[in-house]
Amino acid sequence: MMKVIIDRFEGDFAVVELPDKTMVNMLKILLPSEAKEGDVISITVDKEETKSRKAHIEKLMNDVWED
Amino acid sequence: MKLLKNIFGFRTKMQHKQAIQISKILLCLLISLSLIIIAACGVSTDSPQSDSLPKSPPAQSQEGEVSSAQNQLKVHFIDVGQADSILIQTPEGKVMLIDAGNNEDGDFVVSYLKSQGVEKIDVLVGTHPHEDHIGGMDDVIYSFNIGKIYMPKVASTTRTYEDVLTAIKSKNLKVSTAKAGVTIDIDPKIKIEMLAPNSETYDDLNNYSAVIRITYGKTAFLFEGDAESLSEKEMLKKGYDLKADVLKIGHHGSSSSTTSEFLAAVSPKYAVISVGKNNDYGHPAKTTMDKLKNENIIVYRTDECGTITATSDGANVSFNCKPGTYNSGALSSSNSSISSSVSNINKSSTKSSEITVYWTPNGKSYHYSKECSTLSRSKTILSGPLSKCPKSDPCDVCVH
Repeated sequence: MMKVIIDRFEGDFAVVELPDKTMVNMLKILLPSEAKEGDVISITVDKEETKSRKAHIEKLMNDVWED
Repeated sequence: MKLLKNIFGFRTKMQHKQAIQISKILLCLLISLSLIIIAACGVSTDSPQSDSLPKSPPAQSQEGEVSSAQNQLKVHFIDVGQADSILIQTPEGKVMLIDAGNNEDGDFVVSYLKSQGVEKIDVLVGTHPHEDHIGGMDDVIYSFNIGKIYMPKVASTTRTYEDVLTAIKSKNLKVSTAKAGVTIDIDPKIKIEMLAPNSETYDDLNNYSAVIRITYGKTAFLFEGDAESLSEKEMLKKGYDLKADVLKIGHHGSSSSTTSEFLAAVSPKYAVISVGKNNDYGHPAKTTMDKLKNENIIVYRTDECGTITATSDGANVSFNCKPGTYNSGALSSSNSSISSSVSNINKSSTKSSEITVYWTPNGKSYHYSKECSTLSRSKTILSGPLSKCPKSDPCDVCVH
């Protein structure tokens, strides 16, 4: 799991600190609206949601596929 | 490229790092070159810093300069890109450092200070715990003897801040709280006072910024850190003497700082903006630059000058570089590139709305798809934009 820390907000970006102290700009719209300076943000793969999305799309494909 | 990266949401600072490495190489070359020149000429050179070579500290201070530097207050706004770091050398040779740039600027700030003959930092101030102000502070603490350290008493959860605290602890140093009313006595010839922060807590870390006013003779400097309008209002309300010849503009010239009331109270002749070239945040803001322009305040900016030095003899302040422009941050140009690409998209979509259709010489319908089942037996299939198609009947099968 990737954890980043919001150092500050500048313009459209949250400037976040990666574990190795590299700073990167992350678009604010990618963050939860309640996120504030100092918050630790966990970036994870949502395996459940990925699985259910895949199932949903595969069902749609089955519905429209000819062969 | 920049636009693309921003669309993806992330933009690493690797390019900046590379730029710093390149500038470090240049710096080494420059120092060796100047040593050769000094050795060859046998005289001290006192050449002004070249504008075209930002981030290159002038060659090692010469012995002779020390005496001439006495009775001068010298303020170096070090070019640390989109960050702050300000070195102050007092008339009696004491040293104060306000902020230390980004994480990646640590080594550069240390080498700049060494190039200026700094051995001890009598007063180190971290205006507030944002990475673009305290990032290089751990490197500075490990590299020099440190007298007193001032920081506002507010936590940040970053490793950057943790590393600063760890550096302080490992050298058995202590931190004094930076707040309004603190005075710093390191040189009887100057007066150093803190005018902010005035409250115990704020929502935004920027407003915790230690704001420092230094007076020397008839001249005064005001360093705002990233103090925003809320802190500026508090300082006005407290009735402090804010007047200064030189104002280090708050928060890199962002629109959240430099209210008209505050600017009027400070009434500076010169404004200095510490700001990165083509930064992603639109610093400095157009509103700020317009205010400065309307008040005829002369502007110096690190994105145009590189490192700026301001020298006061107690009566007048002089600068090492030419005044800068009133142009606002790069966002306006990136905005225009966004809007131009948007208009390009609009143009191409206008073109594509002129859809290509297919028809046969003897058929009565036009088709959206060349693969339409009704065309499967046709040998000759013509195509063209809908407006040029001689057929007026849409195919029932492929035209929806």
